[in-house]
Amino acid sequence: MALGQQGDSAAYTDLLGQCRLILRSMLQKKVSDEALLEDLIQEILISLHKARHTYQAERSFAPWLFSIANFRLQDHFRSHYRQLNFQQRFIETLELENQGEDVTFWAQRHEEVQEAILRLPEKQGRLVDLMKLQGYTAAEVAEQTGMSVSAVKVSVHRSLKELKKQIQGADENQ
Amino acid sequence: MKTNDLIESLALEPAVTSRSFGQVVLQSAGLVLVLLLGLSLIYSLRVDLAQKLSEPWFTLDLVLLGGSAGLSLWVACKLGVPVLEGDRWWPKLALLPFAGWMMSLLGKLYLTWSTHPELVQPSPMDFFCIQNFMLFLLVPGLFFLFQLKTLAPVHPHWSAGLALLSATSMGNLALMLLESQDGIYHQVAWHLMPTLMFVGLGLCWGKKILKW
Repeated sequence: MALGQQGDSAAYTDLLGQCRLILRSMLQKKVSDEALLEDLIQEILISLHKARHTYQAERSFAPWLFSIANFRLQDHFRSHYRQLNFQQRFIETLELENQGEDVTFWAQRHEEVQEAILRLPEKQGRLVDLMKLQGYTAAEVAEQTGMSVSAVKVSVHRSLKELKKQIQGADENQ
Repeated sequence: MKTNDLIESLALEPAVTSRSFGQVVLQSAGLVLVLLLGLSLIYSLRVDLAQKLSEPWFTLDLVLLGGSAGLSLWVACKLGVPVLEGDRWWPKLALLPFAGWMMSLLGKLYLTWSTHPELVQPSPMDFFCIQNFMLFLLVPGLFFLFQLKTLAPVHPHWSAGLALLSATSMGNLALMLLESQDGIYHQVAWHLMPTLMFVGLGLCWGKKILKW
């Protein structure tokens, strides 16, 4: 990095290449979508480049790099979850939230969601199950079902809206 | 754009000069000293300053405000550089002198109210107070935020909040030395409350202000 700060483009290219590999192995566990993963790596590399003047040669490089990576990753997840509506967020973080204190509440919720999925038309229910419960990407589901990627996304989006409506209706009735 | 292309395009950009948070602290402290010197030439210190300095509460407040100004500026700049170690407890440590000053003011307010309630009554806001408070808050505050933007804060909320805390602490410190109106109600309503408001603004808007 010290050489990169001085304008040695070969050393800097080498460093960014190595950072890319480190970031990939770090993020692979957290992001399953390959395109999103690559976007995130690029975003972190740009941030690293913007902050390169703050690196001090006498300090260790790894904490500096991971600090920037964590910052961008948190930013990404924050905006990602803000965009999702309640139902999507609920389904995607169901397993995580189940580890919380109120296990009974989340178990009931899980059952409600599964029942609501069963009430959906068979094709839509399968798509939601594959994408939101089993964690397949839209491209993988499209390949399995023979549909186009955009058709899968649209169908899942509509199904989630329907699920949300059903669960909210059930909550209001209670 | 593919990642390899991005790396190549980033590597072609010119060299940069390394910038540490210590440099930013020194530049910011330098500006405040120049400002203090300039103001001391324009205004005279309060007439009863020598007598006030012999009062332990007054001296304690001065020390706490000075500590808050220095420590919060240092921590704000430290958080302006991406590091992982100590980032959780540095901000809390920086708030300690300010919390001490706030407790001292609230303690005095309670004691005055319980012994001489007639002394705790609304006092009019004078122009001198606003002018100096804003001068000491806005000039250093904006300069500190500008300096922080030249770094890469990974805790922007804390960085902005603490930079504004440092600026408001400096404003309060200067007013204690210049202004003779130091009734407890006046200090709480016109010094403590605006300080809390500006620190709150920094904490809430830090992410937008220090976006990089």
